[in-house]
Amino acid sequence: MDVYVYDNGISNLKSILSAIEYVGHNPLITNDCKLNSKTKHLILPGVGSFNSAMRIMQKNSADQRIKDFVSNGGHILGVCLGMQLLFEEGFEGGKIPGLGIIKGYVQHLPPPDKKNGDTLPNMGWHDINIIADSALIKSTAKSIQCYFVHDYHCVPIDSKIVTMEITYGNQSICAGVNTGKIYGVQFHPEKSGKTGLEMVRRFIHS
Amino acid sequence: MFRVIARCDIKGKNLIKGIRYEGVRVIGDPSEFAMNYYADGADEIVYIDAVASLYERSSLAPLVESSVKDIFVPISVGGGINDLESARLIFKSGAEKVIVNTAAISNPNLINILSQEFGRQAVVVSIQAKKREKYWEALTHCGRSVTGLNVSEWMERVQDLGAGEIILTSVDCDGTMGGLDLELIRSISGIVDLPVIASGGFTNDDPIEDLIREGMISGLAIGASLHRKYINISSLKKRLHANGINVRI
Repeated sequence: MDVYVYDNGISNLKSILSAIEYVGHNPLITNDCKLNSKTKHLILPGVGSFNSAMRIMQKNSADQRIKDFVSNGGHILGVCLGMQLLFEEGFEGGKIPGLGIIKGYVQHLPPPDKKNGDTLPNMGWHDINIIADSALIKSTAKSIQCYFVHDYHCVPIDSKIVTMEITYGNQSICAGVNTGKIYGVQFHPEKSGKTGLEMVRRFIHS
Repeated sequence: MFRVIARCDIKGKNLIKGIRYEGVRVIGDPSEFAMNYYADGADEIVYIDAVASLYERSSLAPLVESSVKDIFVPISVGGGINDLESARLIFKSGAEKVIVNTAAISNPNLINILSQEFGRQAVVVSIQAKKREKYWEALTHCGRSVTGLNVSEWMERVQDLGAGEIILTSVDCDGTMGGLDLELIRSISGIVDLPVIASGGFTNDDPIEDLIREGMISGLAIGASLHRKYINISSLKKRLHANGINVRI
């Protein structure tokens, strides 16, 4: 199956493209999100800051086309910053409006609990608490670990859309969301071994 | 979460391993070994260009670029990274972190420059510690050059300069498969808050569980014992898990 991957020119897409190929599908890179109507899946990766990523999207109207894709029933997976961009606003580099596809905001991580091995940025493997079933993973799955690199985290208004959490700074932090055909993961599935590859596969099959 | 890291030292196109950084022998194709370590549960792959600092350049970008097609865990790369440009090339090829030693000792500000640009979490400092009568000395150029630099002072400096992590290798134990230098780890790693990855000589007999529980080490980088198949990652992680250590299974 064809899967779109949005390229903002600053993210390193090699691993995510490899992951899509590894699970047997065909990545199509797009930088303006002028998408053909046959392709039903879009992955929104992302490194960099919320602020700069939004500006790049706005420049060529990729932001509006992503919103149209979602309102026309497309399946979207936001990865790391890509998940954060789905929300209404972020606070990295000032108060910045996001895509607004998911209600909620993106804020800085709480102070790390160093005794528990937390670092800031949060970079490394974490145990995932599966809060609710989604197409990506069932809550009956055995304990899983995924690889994170971030300073900011998502706070959805509707806590029922949270599918995964981690413990950071003695708090539960949102690590995954799902509502309808919209998915977001704060970790990097393309760096999270077989667990992550399986989620990429399941997203494409969703 | 405690990490088990596969460490691949590379010269030219080959995976190599010496004993105490001497008498280097060719082991095989690095990408093939790295792929097996990934499949066996390595949490991270480290590639070090063992001769790069002698020539002041890294040749590992093509290897990283091909590795990310099959290896879906983070890859860290060291050897010959001496400025923003050489680091950028490595990140662009798909690596998560860069590792510096020689260039950082001759120009400590490099650590600061790299961590400003790429974030401190992406900057690892490798320290090659050689035991002297009264202290440990940090060596450069893959254990070839003396510096007179005291490892414990260097560790603190590295932390202040903005490094995100330290790989602490005992030059005396490296490649010997005779056990980690527990004295080095115990006396040095508590000096900094940064995660310390122990390296050099690991065998199955090493009582690392205590070091992990005491917060002395956040990970283990293993080379020779893996390449020679004295250890496999999955059974090591099973052992750690059975002993109550939080590892990715």
